Amino acid sequence: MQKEEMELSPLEAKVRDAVRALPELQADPDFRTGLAREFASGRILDRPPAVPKPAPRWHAAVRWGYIPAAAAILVVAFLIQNRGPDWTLIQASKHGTAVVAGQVVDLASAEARQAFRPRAEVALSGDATVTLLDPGVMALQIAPGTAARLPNTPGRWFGRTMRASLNEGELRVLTGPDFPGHRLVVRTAEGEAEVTGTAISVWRQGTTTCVCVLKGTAMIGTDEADMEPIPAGKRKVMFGEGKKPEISDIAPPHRDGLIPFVKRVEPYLEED
Amino acid sequence: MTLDKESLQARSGEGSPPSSSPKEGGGRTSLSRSTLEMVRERNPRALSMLFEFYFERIFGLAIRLLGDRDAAQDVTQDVFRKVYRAAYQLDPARDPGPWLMAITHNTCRDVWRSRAYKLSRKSSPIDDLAGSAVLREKGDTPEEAMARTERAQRVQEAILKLPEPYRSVVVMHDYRGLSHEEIATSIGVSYAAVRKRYSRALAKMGELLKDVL
Repeated sequence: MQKEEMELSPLEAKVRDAVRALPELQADPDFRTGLAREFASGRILDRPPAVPKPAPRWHAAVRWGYIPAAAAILVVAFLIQNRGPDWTLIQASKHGTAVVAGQVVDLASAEARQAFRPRAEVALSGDATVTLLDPGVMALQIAPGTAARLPNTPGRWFGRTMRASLNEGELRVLTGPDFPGHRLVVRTAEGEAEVTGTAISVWRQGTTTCVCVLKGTAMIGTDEADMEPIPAGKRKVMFGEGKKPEISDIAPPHRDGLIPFVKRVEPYLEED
Repeated sequence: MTLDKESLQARSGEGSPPSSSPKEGGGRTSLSRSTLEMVRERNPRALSMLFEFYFERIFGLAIRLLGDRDAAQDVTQDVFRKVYRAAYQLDPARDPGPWLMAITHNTCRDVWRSRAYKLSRKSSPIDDLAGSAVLREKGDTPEEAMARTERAQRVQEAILKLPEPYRSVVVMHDYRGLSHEEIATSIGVSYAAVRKRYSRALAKMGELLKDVL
């Protein structure tokens, strides 16, 4: 043996010596004699292999990365399949401009159709109004003078919560027949509204947020602990300076904005 | 063809009694170059010499690695079958020992991976590999011989309790006398990995055998 001894503990040295002291084991003499004859004569090739070749091992494939690669492809494919459709622009006023994700978009142009991507920051100026649709699920109207971040469109199987934020102006929401199972949360500095199947408007100016419910019920509050159901025909107003929120009847200007919006987009939601 | 004296002398180490050094193998005595050249040509007498010279080493490695006499015989048969088929690849300038040990180890690995072997390990006890006869050395009392036999049995059981990568390294190094470098080449892992496995194998066996060593 080559002199490459490792530093061993006394016990390990004893183990090593014990292995070295193991006696040679003798094979069955008949087996030995028969095999010697067959080997020398070449007849050994007539024998089929005694040890079958094992099937390829999965972990060898894993080692070479086939399974991780396949898994990654599946995950990517799944994520792509899970992704909901982008927002569809169904209506935009002919006048006014929009700044979407930092780019000025002419609402009368064809490029406006592609501009309103999920999670994009949007600011409308002048009297520009934009209505977006996720077919069957939800319609969203951005009122003139609004600065907001668009919600993501919901995933098919998971990631079904949509989140939007409103800095200023008004967002109007109408949910469609495919909305159940989804959630939309619209957040402002003063509070948030959780939509689970309804028609609402969320309006913000200065440090005041007003959420008006036209249909169904929405959960509205300054934070998660404060959320309470607000029924149709009511509104909740939240203030930014520590003032207590107020619940009252729906504000006529917001109701008057919601009614034509609902009337206009309902057919789009129903037809899908 | 004539077989040279060197080759015949090389056989004289066979069947030597247990000692505290590893059994012969690796880069020690070997068949002569001329014999190995004839093995390449599948000369029956040279093949016979190769068989006689290496049979015990191959069978011994297989049975220590597998703990099963029948499986070891199967492996030995397959090793010689493979050697016959690949005889033309043999390099007469080098000791074929490590090559044969590598084939033996790889064939044992095929056995380990076979479903039949896994099932048999679950259902049947380990063969009495200390030998059916009591291991008796000169001057031993019957009690000493019995203790020696029992100890060898425990050592073999401890070997078989090792995970296969550790088992291969400790048996090939200490029982068959291959260097860590030869083992690394044989089983296709790095030298550092062999040393690490060897160290862990000894530590694990130490735990298993501390009451008898």
